[in-house]
Amino acid sequence: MTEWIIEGNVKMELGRFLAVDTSTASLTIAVLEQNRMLGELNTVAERNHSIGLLPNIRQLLAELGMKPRDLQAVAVGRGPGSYTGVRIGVSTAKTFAWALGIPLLGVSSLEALAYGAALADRAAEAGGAAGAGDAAARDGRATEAAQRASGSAANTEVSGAANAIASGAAGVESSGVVDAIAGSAADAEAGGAADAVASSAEAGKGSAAVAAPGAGAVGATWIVPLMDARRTQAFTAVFAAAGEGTAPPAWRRVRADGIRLMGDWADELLAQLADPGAAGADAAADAARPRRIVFAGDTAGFAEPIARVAAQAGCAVAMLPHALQASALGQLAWPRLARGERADVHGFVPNYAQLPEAEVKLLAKAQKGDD
Amino acid sequence: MQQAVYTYRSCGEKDTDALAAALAAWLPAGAVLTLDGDLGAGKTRFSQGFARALGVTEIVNSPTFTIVKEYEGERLPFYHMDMYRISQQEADELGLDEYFYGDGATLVEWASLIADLLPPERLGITIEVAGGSERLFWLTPRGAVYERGCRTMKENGSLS
Repeated sequence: MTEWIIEGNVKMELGRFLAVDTSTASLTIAVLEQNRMLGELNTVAERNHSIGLLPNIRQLLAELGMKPRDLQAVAVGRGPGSYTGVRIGVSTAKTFAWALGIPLLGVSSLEALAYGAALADRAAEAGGAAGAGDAAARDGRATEAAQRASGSAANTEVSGAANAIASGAAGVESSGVVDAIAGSAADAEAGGAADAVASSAEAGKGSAAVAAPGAGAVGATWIVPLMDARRTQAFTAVFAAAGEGTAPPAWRRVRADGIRLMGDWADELLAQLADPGAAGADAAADAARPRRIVFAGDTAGFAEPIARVAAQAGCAVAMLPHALQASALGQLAWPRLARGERADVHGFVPNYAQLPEAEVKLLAKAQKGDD
Repeated sequence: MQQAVYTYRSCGEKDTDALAAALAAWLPAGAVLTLDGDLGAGKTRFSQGFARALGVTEIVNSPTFTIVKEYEGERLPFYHMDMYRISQQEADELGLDEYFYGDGATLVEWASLIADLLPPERLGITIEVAGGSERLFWLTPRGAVYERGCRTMKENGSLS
């Protein structure tokens, strides 16, 4: 009964699946048919996604005239993010998959956040708004933009975007909040960086999307998703989006998901930009430098480390406050589902990307004892 | 710098409620109080007074078996925790930071059992039985907000 989803099977066209993520303040669900979103429902709450998740799924399915049994797969954000939040989404998704006998697929919540931001950034660039952002950096409005992005206005816009239901609406709403904060030296070197990154942009595993024609000539945009993990830490990673226009970006991972002290993370990113081979990049292909860097997600709490990267990165740096959207998660999930990727429904666990603090201290103590 | 410690002598539940109310009056959203003391020292009794002062109308009882209870307070949400029954590792997996850095006031009973997990800024309270219904409260503020609050309470005579 799950035959429909194997690669090359025409029945894939009927593949409707549910995408869910509760790992951040954004409780987000979407129903997709292949990579086309049929509907999305987003609500924002600091906690208690357990109260809203099932009613929201019921509401969205009802709006689409669907029943749970019409779902043919479930994709879920497996974290990292809020401990409690991740578990709400994962256990609900597992229950759907188990009860309906349909495939389950886990997607990194950081990757979903980054991919949604990449799409929003792309829509903004296509509409000329991101170009205006770069211009802002050149003519010295950078500081003002950074302040605005870290203030409450930015948060308001994020929640506005999070409430968008129609396909593509999020990108449009986000276009106003792409703020460039490049340092003065940035543009002088940006051209060289674009060249350096060109040939490797599509060298990744080619998972989510096909490289757009001419992508190599443009240079990749690094998307650095940020989820506030408190105590000056963020859940973060690095992804590269190449290509231009409104086509899906050529997408690959540059750095693994992890919880990082933001000050150290800024240093790491700068080190990797300065010496691409030495800073722990995941693959040689990642050695190239990006044309732009976009910090996306919970940018507000990290203005200082982001500003430091902006001042020294040697390329344009922008902040994009952004809320995670299940539609983006679904678009990442679809090609993987179509390739036959599956999670073991019973054994699937969240990725907390974090050693419990008690374990960390225990390890530290043990190591001290060894010395 | 030496850690300032303040004391409060309670001659009965009325005095304990008065201390709880005085603290509830200035503690901000995201406040964390830790509460330690022997069984029967009056930790839960203090928590009840504190909850009432925050405007919680529900009945507050010991969260020993539920670990965490959430209440809606008129002034702030109230998060009541008891770490007596769980290990530090188990507590860590609860993701308590989401309460500690949240929008309510958190009170942690038996906090000493999860010392590594507590946020650096907090108000430590230890209750000592001083015979009969008399109790001695030891208050240890960590972080500017708590230090300022305790200093103010000392200046107006609530603490010594």
